Amino acid sequence: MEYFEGNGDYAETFFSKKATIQYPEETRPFSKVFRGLHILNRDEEGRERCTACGLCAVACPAEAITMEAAERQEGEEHLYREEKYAAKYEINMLRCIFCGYCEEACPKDAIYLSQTFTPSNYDRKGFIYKKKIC
Amino acid sequence: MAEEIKKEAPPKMKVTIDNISVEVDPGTTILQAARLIGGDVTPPAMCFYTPLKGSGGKCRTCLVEVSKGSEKDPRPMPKLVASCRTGVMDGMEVKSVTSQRVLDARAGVVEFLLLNHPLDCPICDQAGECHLQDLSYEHGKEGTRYEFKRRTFKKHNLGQYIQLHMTRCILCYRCVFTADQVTNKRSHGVLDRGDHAEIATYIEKSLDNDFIGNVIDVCPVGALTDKTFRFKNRVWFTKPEDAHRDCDKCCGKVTLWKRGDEVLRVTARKDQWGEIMNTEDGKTGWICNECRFEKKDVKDWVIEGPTKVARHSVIGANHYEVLDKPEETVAKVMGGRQPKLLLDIHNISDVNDPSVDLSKIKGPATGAVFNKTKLIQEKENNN
Repeated sequence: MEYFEGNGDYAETFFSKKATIQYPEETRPFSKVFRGLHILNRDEEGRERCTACGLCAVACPAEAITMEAAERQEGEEHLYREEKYAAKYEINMLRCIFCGYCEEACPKDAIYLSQTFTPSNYDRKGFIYKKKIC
Repeated sequence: MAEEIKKEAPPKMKVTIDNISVEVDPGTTILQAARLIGGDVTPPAMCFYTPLKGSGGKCRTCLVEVSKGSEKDPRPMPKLVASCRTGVMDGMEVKSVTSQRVLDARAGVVEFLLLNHPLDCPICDQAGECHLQDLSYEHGKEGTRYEFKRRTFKKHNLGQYIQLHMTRCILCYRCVFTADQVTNKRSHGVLDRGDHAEIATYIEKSLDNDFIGNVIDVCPVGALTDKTFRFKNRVWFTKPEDAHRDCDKCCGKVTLWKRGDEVLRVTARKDQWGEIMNTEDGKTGWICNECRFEKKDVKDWVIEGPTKVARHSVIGANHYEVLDKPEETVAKVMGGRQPKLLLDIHNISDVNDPSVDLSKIKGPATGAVFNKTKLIQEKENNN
């Protein structure tokens, strides 16, 4: 009797839907509110939205965000939207806890948390995300 | 007899503000009486500034309701009065936050002040210590009904020290009084009338009187800001420390706003009402331009200790109590051997680069400041 019961359980598990997926070929959909890797947005005209107001940095509970501001010069109006911009902007992904407070604090709609993971890396350098200096 | 002798003593006046009684000297204004009580009772003030004679009565944010004129004449005052310019009377009863009329009036005043004030707090250096920010947050309404273009002005250059943002000005006249009473010659003022009124120098003229830097401290908004501090850091990331130096022109008692060991900004010391504090000898602690703009080195100053910052202030975000740096313990524990591997954040981070000293730059940093140093570094590496 127990023999049949055991086999029955086995058959049920064998034919039921698997809990795992074949990862690289298949991916699970993210939740709509998933908070992943940060992006700094530009506006419709391609100018940087971020004005280095520091609200994301002060809102950050992990103190992952640091920045340094600079004044926009004449001839740079097409690059930066406001008088002041972030000359340096860094997020330390080793510190970041993906709480999304930076996105919430941003008055300029500049920083967003996107729908991707932060890739893993072997050294610390790969986790300090910065603006590329052109 | 005993009663008569009592009467000869300087009579104190009893004034009741929001059901809290306080006894003050005759000639005190309602605002100052309310400040003695403190807390929510105190009306906000944008234009009144205790050390400046004649200031007040312009911004109308300190309106209060006088529900009983005095003991002798108990009739209430028909309109709300500006508390900074109205003297107390014996037995006066005042309503500040307990009166709905007052709250409505203040909300209206805030809305008017914000009609033309740009919402550029993210860019403004005053953000975090701005009185208009506090005022609108505490007394204003959430939205504005204004739909038109805000006024703009032709830009005026006030010299290498002071940055004027006329769009942010609320015309409190504090800086004009400061220039009149603290410096020996006033060379700026309010030009034009009504909506066109603006703070300016008539001919493009830089402000370079010796004490003119104080207009930055008295400005309740970000209209007059320190050019040597411009955009260098946000106020709440800097560490305020009380310091002094021997200065033959002024009292030399200041607050340093530091990042690490860099002195990014020097201001006069301010009290809880945002007004410049008196020094020990009872004089107002105005500071001279040399102390404010030229002494951006820790070695110039004797540091007394961290400035007390109110708990609710955003400047208290990086709150600290002592200035002692924690000592390195590794060598101690390892019998004198220094650590072999140190993970210095500056190896990988560009922010707060030790080779860039922002306090040594005269004006605001530009992109070139950060890029140039990069170039220099690369050159050094190549060599």
